[in-house]
Amino acid sequence: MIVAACCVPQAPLLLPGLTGGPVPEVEELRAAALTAVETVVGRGVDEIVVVGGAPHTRPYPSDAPTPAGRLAPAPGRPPQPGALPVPLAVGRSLLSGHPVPLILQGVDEHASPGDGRDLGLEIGARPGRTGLVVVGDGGARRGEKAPGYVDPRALDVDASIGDALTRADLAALVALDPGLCDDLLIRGRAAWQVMAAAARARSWTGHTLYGDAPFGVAYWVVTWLPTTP
Amino acid sequence: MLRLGRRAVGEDLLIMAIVNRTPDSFYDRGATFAREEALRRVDEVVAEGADIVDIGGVKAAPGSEVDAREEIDRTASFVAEVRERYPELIISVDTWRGEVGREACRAGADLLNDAWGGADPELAEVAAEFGVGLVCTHAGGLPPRTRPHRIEYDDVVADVIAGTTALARRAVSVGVDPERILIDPGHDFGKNTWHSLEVTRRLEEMVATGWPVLVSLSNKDFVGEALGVPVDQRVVGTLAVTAVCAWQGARVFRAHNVAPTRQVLDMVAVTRGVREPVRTVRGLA
Repeated sequence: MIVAACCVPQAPLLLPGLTGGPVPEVEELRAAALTAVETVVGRGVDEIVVVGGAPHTRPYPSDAPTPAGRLAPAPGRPPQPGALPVPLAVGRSLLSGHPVPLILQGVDEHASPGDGRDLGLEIGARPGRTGLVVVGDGGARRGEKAPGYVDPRALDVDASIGDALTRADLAALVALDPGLCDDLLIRGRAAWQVMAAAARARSWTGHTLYGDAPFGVAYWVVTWLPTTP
Repeated sequence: MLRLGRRAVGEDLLIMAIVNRTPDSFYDRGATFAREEALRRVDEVVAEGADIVDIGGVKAAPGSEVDAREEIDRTASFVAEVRERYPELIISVDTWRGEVGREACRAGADLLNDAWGGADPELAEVAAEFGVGLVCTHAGGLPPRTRPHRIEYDDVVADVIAGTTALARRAVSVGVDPERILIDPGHDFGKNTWHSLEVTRRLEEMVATGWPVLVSLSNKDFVGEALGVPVDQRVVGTLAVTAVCAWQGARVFRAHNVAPTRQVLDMVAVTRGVREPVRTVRGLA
């Protein structure tokens, strides 16, 4: 049973050391993300399942090497074989201060909504008190300076995703169109559809700790806690 | 022996001066879009010691579409004009399009600077047809005018070497003169700042391939991010990495700021002992 959930961005720059010196926009984002995972862990969980985009839908070893050297090679930080996909590494790093068992669950970024639902139902049916940390973010075509330049649809779609996450609107997340999300370089789509299915057994109150796009990619940090009757 | 235009290059370190016929390039922001301004820029960089001018008609970053016809209009007749004014100057054209390269060669270009990693294979064939040089650049497989986003490499330097030398071999196979081929790691192209720094740090591995190496460092974002400075404050950082690359054996330096680059390259050459100091009397009298 999922007892709490949160969503954090999958930006590589959340991995420790990747910005070189501290970057205020990243530190603000990281602080929000750390608060979110702390909120989830603080609900008395037996385990945390981290869900994030990956080349394949499968669990990844929780002690796999960091991909930092692939993104930011430097002396003392070489690329390592068998490195985690970035979203799972980001989730693991945010949880590094918490001694709680971790399951790193990759979901194929291109998984169909149906496959996402099946995986989510499996996670939602786990025995014990499970905390869910979902790693995914929004569009990268939000403007001329954005990584993927401009797509006029981007701002509206991102706004609707931010709204769905904030209101814990499971149906809206399930309805996200894979083709449209791919077009807009929205990487979190499959992970959110897993989240929606995993969380389906109860109703949730969402709380947005962060929602901005300081580098042209839409980031949200949102917690979902069970709605008290 | 590297040959460009009519010049056999030998040990010299060459400067390729950037001349943009664009209204929107990141550094000069259209300063030399107009013909007269561009010609004045050529006069200036030649006087400052440029060996090559690199004429470009499309900015690298995403932006308003420039089709091949427009790119040819911006570059080809200008190449002809520069050729007439400076018969010995090495003229390069910065393009990924074969049809643009063809018109540039007809107008007198000596070198095609393919900064987008062979996106149009015809460009190498044009270089072969006209007997001109070709720059083979690593762009990480990105299509022209796109930004790197969350790119990862098993080993960025290995990827750069594999990619650029494959392009060079392919160019030879279609008939480009092997003495007229350069390879370029493509700083910031398909790379984040960490990747560009790694390539800079390990440039000698690229040099060791035997292909002459061109580096394009000038005022780029990896310099800006390394030092935390905006685009108008990157000259010093650019010169520092220019020295680092020169020390490791790069041969051609694509630059906006020609005079200080010339001084850095001369100082590196003197330090290596491949160039005589101008005047050494201190303690020797």
